[in-house]
Amino acid sequence: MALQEYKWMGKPLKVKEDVYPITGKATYLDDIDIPGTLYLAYVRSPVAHARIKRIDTSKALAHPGVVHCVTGEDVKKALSPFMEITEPPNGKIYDYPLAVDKVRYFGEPVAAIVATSRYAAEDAAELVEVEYEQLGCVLDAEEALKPGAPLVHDEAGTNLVWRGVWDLGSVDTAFAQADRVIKDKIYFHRYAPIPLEPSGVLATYDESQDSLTIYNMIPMPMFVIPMICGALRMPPSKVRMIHPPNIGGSFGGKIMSYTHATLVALLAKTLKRPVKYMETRTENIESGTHSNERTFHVEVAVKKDGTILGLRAKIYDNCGAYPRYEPAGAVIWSQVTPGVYAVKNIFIEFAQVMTNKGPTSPVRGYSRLQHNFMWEKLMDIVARELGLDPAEVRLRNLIKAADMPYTGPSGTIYDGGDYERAFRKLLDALEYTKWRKLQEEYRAKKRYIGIGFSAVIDSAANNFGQVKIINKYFPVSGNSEAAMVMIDQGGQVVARTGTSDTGQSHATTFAQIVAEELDMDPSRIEFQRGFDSVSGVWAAHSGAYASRSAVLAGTALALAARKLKEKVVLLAANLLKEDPANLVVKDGKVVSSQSGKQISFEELALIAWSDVLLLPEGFEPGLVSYYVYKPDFKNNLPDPKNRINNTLTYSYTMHGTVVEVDAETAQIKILKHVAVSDPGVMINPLVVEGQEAGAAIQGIEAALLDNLEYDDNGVLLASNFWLYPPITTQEAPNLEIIHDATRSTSSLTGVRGVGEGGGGPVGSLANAVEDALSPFGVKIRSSHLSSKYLYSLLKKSGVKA
Amino acid sequence: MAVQKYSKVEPEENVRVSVKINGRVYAETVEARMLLIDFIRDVAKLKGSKIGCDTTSCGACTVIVNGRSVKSCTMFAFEADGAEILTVEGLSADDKLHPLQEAFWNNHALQCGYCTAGMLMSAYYLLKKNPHPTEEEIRKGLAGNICRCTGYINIIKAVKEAASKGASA
Repeated sequence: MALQEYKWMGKPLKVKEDVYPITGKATYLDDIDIPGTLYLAYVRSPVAHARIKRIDTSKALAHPGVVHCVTGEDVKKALSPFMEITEPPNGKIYDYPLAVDKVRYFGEPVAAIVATSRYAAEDAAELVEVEYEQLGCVLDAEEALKPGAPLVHDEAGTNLVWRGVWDLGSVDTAFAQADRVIKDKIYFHRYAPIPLEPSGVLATYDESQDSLTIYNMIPMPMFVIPMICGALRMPPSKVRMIHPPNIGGSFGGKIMSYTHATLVALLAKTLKRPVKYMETRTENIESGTHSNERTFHVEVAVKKDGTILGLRAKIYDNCGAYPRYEPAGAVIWSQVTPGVYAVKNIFIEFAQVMTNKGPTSPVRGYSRLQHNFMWEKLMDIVARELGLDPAEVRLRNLIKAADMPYTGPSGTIYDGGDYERAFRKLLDALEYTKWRKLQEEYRAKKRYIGIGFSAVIDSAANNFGQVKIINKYFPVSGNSEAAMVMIDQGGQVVARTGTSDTGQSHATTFAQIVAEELDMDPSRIEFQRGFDSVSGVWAAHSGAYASRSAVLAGTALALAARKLKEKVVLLAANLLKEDPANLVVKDGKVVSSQSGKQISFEELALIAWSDVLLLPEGFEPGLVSYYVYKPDFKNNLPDPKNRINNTLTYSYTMHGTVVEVDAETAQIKILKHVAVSDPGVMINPLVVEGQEAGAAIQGIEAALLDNLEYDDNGVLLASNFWLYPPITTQEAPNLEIIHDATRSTSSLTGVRGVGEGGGGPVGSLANAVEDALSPFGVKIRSSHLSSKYLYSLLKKSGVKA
Repeated sequence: MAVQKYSKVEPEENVRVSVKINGRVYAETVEARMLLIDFIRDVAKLKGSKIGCDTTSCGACTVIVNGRSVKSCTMFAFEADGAEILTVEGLSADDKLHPLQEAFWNNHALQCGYCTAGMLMSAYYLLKKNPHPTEEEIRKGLAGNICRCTGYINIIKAVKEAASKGASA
């Protein structure tokens, strides 16, 4: 099948909805003003682990403008604890929007003030007196599992959230056949996704209907409804979830804002006034969402030629103080168990552990980018140990195009592509041979150039069935998305779906999908943005997360449009007295290929919606169709060995980075970065490239800048943009992005989900820096390349600086 | 100037602030500590300018005050008393997009759009000072504006395109 056989899809159309932010007309949550709104400010913990002895809110309550104040004790009475995904003992933990009895991480909300202005609320929050009895804290996952370690949640009796074992293939045999066994330890650091718009929520309560409306930015609005409604003890039908048309980024980070949504909704109901909370940047960095910090103890069985026969890994994941959407992350890495490599024998023991750090939750590349990083470090470790070229080791182990679609050891079905061809394209575009030569010449002049690779896979459109590996009784599996396409009374084509984007240009790309089905100019299709659980369409899994929108919402829209087209043809055939087989839908009308007779959408709409006595018998009035798409993942549910196809599509990207490292100052300069990707069929290449570039730059940022470092007492050392500086135009390099696209064998339209990026450059940077400093014997085993870390390695290796 | 008039004002004391934003005068009595961005968003109800941090780092609130680009969270509203301010809403005249807006649209120089208003105003100021900047000068001119989505690549392209079309005029 040809790669792009589409007429309206595949074009880099200008993004229609871009016009709203560039003219200042876009509406984000904080732009919604409702008269009489009250503002919430949190009192947050300045310590990592402590018993709350006393909270005195009297001074705060006396502050002008203050209306109300709540503490953990109050929410414990008013709310049920949030649902936990794990089974007991860990499922026994109690999680509320405010700390109850104890604080468990630096920045945890302890109390909340509600006042008539944000200024007054923040002032009053400073007047709340909290007495803490400090407890010993535990910050490292492996330490947290040792006997006698402080317990983050006393009720659980353990800091272990969940432990799972994947014993795939014949690992012992693989190790027995190996020429060499290489052991090592790899660390992936903690960072935050920091969307430019922090989280926020606005809730109103309608007494006349005893119902709540929650304006929010939670990218999985109906998935979190059981959490919110369970805590509020209200049926879902009484809680309306609304997204504004614009959300200022998320990168996963806004999923956890259901804790704010629950508290703000409770207060709106209690006070019978609208209540708004907008997270500050400091709050966002401290406790918005962190990415999973992970340590890998690895053993690889290799042959002399670099073929990897097997892997044994013990993995510890530090999810911070509350698991919340975790422990999903403890299985989501298995979407990419072998990475892009044909390794069949894999033993992984994975433990997810609570500590007194901020809670983790999905962050762009969630749980898989750490795993990709492990593989990419391993490739270079193996190459160096065996004296082979790292490109050669990768080429030797890549999954072959002839084996596609490829079923991996943990049941994933990789949906086509040619990894080897993409990697060879990377070598050409990067000018690998040239840089290797230059490297030698430079070394003679005491300048240190390094070349690093990272071949990552980016799984998309998740199968929630994988959560059953953790808790087989947890009632969620598969995935689904809803779409509606209609021709309204005026003949205008209108489309909606349950995903609402956080910057992925859904209105334009989805219009292109509908345009393809109806063969009409996408500019004539109105895609309605935002989310509304009352007036919109949705499925329980709806949302823009896990790179699912193009694959799942795209398919739902295509199938809804197809259904609508059938209805349109049926009506037109009846009115024109033509055989439906002769009718063609095109450019907003139905034309007979035989008689040339035609009827426009406008004419059809008038009859279908209002002149309904003219409709043929049995024809349901209106021109609207709905479709809820539920993909078949083939390996749908986990087997006893935890094998499952956890996502529908698997895009991949081959990254190559060339750096120069100053051996005295440990400064890293990126000289060149090339990425060769296979996004599958591209609905809109402009949008795909934008997502890929953004993901790559965030990967570079994660490696070079972002690091959530805590001191020994669990105090976060970087909690605003001065101390935790995001990448700017000064550090972000230019990138070369090349596509080597093939159709996905799993999705209807041939698209693959893209945009998370699999953390590609994190691995290529770490490998490039190690390569640059290899004359000093420096071994990089961390994903974060701070000057401090590099400097310590250089010092250890005896470099004088 | 306003700064002298209110030099001894208490933070929560009320002061009269009058500013001209995009050609229209907005006058209101506000607390002396009110930040200019809050005046623009909550008093003038011009919501195009955004708030993205607490530390004057992100630039989402950048506006032009008396011809200079200012992060409007770093200035009190009363400090702008009597000033002329241009915000993103004032960039396009008579529904005709400013060449910078056109270039941002052509190049998909935004994804979530939250940084866009500030980014446009910084770019506007840059091109006023330097109508034909090099890439390095563009990068320097936009260094105070954070975009979390695009990796800056398309933003830089857009500013180059706008400059080549004489956007500073």
